[in-house]
Amino acid sequence: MSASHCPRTWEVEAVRDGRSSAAASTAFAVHAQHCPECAREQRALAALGTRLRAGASAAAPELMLRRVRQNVLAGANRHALAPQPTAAWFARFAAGLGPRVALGALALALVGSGVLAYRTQRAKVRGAAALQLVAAADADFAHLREPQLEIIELRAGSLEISFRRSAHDSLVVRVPDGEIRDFGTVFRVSVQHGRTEEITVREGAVLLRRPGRSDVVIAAGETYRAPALPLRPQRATAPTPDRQDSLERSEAVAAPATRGGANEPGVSAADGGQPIQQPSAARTDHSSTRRRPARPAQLGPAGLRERASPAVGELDEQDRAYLRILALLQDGRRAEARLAAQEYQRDFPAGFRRNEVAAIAAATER
Amino acid sequence: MTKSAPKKLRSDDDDAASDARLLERVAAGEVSALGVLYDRHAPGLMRFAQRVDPQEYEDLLQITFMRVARLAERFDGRSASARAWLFAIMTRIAQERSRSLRRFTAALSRLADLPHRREMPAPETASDLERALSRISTAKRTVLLLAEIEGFTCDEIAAMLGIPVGTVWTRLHHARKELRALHAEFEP
Repeated sequence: MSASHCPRTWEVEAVRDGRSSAAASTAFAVHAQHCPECAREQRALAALGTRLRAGASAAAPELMLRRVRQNVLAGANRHALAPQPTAAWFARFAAGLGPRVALGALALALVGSGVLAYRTQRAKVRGAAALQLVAAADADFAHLREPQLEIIELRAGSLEISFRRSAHDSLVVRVPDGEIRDFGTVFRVSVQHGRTEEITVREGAVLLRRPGRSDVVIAAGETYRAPALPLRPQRATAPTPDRQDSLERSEAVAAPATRGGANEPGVSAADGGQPIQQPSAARTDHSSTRRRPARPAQLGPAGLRERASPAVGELDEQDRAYLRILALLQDGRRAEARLAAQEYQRDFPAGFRRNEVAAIAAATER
Repeated sequence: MTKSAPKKLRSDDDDAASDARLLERVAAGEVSALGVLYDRHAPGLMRFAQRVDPQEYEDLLQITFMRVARLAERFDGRSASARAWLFAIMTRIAQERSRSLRRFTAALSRLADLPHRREMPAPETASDLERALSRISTAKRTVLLLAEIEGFTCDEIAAMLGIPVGTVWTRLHHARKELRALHAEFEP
């Protein structure tokens, strides 16, 4: 800041930050009209604020926001599905406290469990009306009820599902290649050729889980579409290790319009899915006697892309590269350590140790 | 910082009430409410994160919302708006990560006799102002960003950071002073 001669220049900042009273602010405003130094200071501070805000007004990177959104919702779903503390855990916790506190806690727990039982009962009553199904003509499904769980087994066709989740009821849609967890939504799911072809969520969010593959969260307004099926069986010489990756990467690719033909090979084995065990509870079957041919898939907006976890081999490579950098540092070979760090950053831009490696690269530059 | 016209205030109040309801639903385990909250506040929080931690802002945003899901039941709408609460969470996470990185760097320096480095340099593509901003300390930068860009009052910032309002005024003053010294354009 430049040297100032007016003794009241400091008040510019005081008024701006709300340090001055209303009366002092008014008095200073009158002063600033006649004091060129204070007026200049006001303009300088205003310009600083304007420049800072202008720099911050750039549009947020949309892809990054969507990626983080999916991660956040998937994490929250995992948290919601995690087992809650059990009675045994509570007993261990109470035993760790003094006897009086434990007795008080026990009394509270009894009252709490009474309230919980009452609410559970009410939730069960409400639960009967919370689920609505609209089945397409080609739908082949069964509806089962278990304690605190609505189960729909969708073997083929399309279902429109509306489910209002209560605190103690949840819904699982079992599909041939996995299951869909519902968190209070309105959504439509289609199954063809033994796998989930399409999920469109209108409200809320659902979690698609398949054995051996990463979970996918589909939120309101989003559509998941399965990758296109191969038109011919794969040759024996095709490289097999990339099969899973190629399937995961192709989730976002719109399916060709010729999909669904009668000559397509079965996919349940090739897709890596495994059949889900069917419960033995009594069920209501809704199998249609007449099958419609599978409708061709529509070209539409890109569906969700799964975020594939790094392979175990890649993690090993990351660890080895990181340990090598540390070893070079310990030997005092800073130039080599810097090169190794730069290699790590180039090879693993999203690596697990990227922060530490960035710090090492920066520190060894000197 | 003065508030805007009464009509705008009314709208802000409606948004705040809506945010509070969303947080109640998040606390009840409704994941879709977290998505709505994210859509509403993530762009603003991300812009703030980009300036507080230019290297790791994506992680910062993600960790913030993960923590929001965990802490939603503790939100008390009477003491702070949901927006201020979200910024407070992000600020604390940034402080935790900054401290952790400093400790790690210091340990590395001791291990390999490397010079100690306090702050990561700003990306080469950043403007002069951004580079100047990245050279002032995280504590001062955070206060300056919250006041000048996000429009929080000094009292709100003090509550968010858990520090006296006098400290906020001091940090704000020194942040402006340092920024102006580094960037001659703002000299009167």
